[in-house]
Amino acid sequence: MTVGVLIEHDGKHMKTSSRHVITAASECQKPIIALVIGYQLDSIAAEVALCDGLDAVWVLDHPDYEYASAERVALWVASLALTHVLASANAFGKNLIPRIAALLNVSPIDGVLSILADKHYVRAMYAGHILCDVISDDLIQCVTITPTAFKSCASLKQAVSIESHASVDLPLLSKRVSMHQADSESPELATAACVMTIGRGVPPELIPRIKRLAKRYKAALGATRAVVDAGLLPNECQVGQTGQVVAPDLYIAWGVSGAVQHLAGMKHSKQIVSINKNPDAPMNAFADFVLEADVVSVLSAWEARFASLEEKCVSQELEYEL
Amino acid sequence: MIICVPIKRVIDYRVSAHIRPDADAIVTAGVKHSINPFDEIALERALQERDSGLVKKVIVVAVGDADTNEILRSALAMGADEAHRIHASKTPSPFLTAQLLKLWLEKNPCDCIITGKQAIDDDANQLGQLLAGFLGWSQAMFASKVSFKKEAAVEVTREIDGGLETIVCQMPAVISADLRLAEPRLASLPAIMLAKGKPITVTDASELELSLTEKTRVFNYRTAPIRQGGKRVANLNELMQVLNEAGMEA
Ligand SMILES: Cc1cc2nc3c(=O)[nH]c(=O)nc-3n(C[C@H](O)[C@H](O)[C@H](O)COP(=O)(O)OP(=O)(O)OC[C@H]3O[C@@H](n4cnc5c(N)ncnc54)[C@H](O)[C@@H]3O)c2cc1C
Repeated sequence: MTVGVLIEHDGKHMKTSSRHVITAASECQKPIIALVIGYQLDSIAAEVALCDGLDAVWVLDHPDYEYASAERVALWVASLALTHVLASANAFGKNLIPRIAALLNVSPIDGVLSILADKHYVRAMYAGHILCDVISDDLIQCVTITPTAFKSCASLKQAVSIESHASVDLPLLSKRVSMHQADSESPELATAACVMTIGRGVPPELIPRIKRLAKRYKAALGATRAVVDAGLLPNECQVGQTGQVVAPDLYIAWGVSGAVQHLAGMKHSKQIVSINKNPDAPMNAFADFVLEADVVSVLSAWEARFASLEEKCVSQELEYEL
Repeated sequence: MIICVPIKRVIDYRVSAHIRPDADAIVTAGVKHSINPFDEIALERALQERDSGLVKKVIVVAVGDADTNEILRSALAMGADEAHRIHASKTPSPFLTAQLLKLWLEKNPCDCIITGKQAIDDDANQLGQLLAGFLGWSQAMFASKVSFKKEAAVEVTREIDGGLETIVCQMPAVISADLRLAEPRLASLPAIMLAKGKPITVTDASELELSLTEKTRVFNYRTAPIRQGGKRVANLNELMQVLNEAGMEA
């Protein structure tokens, strides 16, 4: 009985979401192996090996895997003697887990929110509106885990062993030709402590100013589908049923109506603030704190607050120098 | 080239789903259904390719009971060339659906499959990947741009967590559609009328010699807890205050 956790990384570091999956894996109470796939992985493997809860790290490090295609990754993972294969319920894990499941002839389970017993899970459907239990009869469990539903695992001082694996032979079925990555300066949207989300109620010329505000708070930038469809912010910012699922400590929604498809992606945030001038907007019934006002005036007030704080700091510094 | 578009009948996205009193299923009788929005986007993209002449035929296929004919007719009205239904009394899981489709495709071959990335009822996001795995084909999931190349390859831009990625897949390939792949056309009234008379081929699941036993059991449906919010604050200062009280540094 061995649990394999597929580790997501960007070629430099492991993604925080994989730390949440390791915590979920530890609830299976079986040995846990982290699976790291790519090229030139030494530093990533060393980082992964410190994760609390692991028993070993298996590494497939090969130039052919610099672009780790689903076809090749699935073939390798399906060849390992694992009883559970877990990955995060995001574009990374959702791309891989069902294909691995097909090769193993098992019915995969998506977006697990809690593990009640071996092979017994809770998941959401209908845009998060309905929860259900799922029991699987399969000998091997192929599961994607909603990262925000589990804590992040800690890093230890002592590393577990790292084992190299040989690549598998499969003719090249797909290859990557280009990649556009979001700026890595801002925090990962899925695991950020604070998210500021821009909705259609934000006039486009205000977007750069909210971005600046988000930066000061080290907040990740989110968007509704309407804003992404309009080409105002990139797709990776979309929060919702069909975008990213987030659960930050603080979620600030600027001009967001609160459609069910949007709420599905942020309903588990600890504190939600809605800035929306329409008293009947669903978001204003849903959010913990509601500022029923125009985004323009709120943003100006917020900036003014910062400006005066900064002035104070500057004048204090001046006094000190004097 | 033939493109096959698997489509699913789901409760319309404007309608909220209700749970049966025994908590073992969702109420479906008498509820407005439609084509899963992502499948509609997939179909639109396939039709565009046919309209531009590269693709000879676009066929749609759905698994389900006779009520499923209704979405197949909508697909025909949009312009699909052929509609097929694999008969099953209940809508199966993505796993069984993919197995049925794999067997069905052995008799109804195609060069490329485009389907929606997820169905908005079970939100599973599995069918395309499962099908690609069963068939041993290349896969390009969450596509926001697709361009077919001459040399039996397709270039696909994928929406991934950190941004966008463009890959080239050998054909045959399975592609799953994200929201921004295409904007579905509205069927014209004459096309809707015409679609009513078009044939729908029905294959019984039993003809495919597959046992329709699910390997997962889904039960204890319940409504997710509803958040009690709505506390008004008068201005930004008051907002800052309550956030500080809640332990937030704002
Ligand atoms: C299959 C499907 C999947 C979907 N997936 C997603 C998803 O993943 N994520 C998602 O977000 N959506 C998704 N949607 C779309 C969703 O249904 C909504 O259309 C969308 O979330 C609305 O975005 P919005 O709140 O920005 O815009 P709107 O609904 O237009 O709301 C704008 C809000 O801003 C307020 N406002 C306007 N001007 C001001 C002002 N000056 N000051 C203050 N407030 C103002 C208005 O009162 C209004 O409430 C999906 C839809 C479908 C059908």
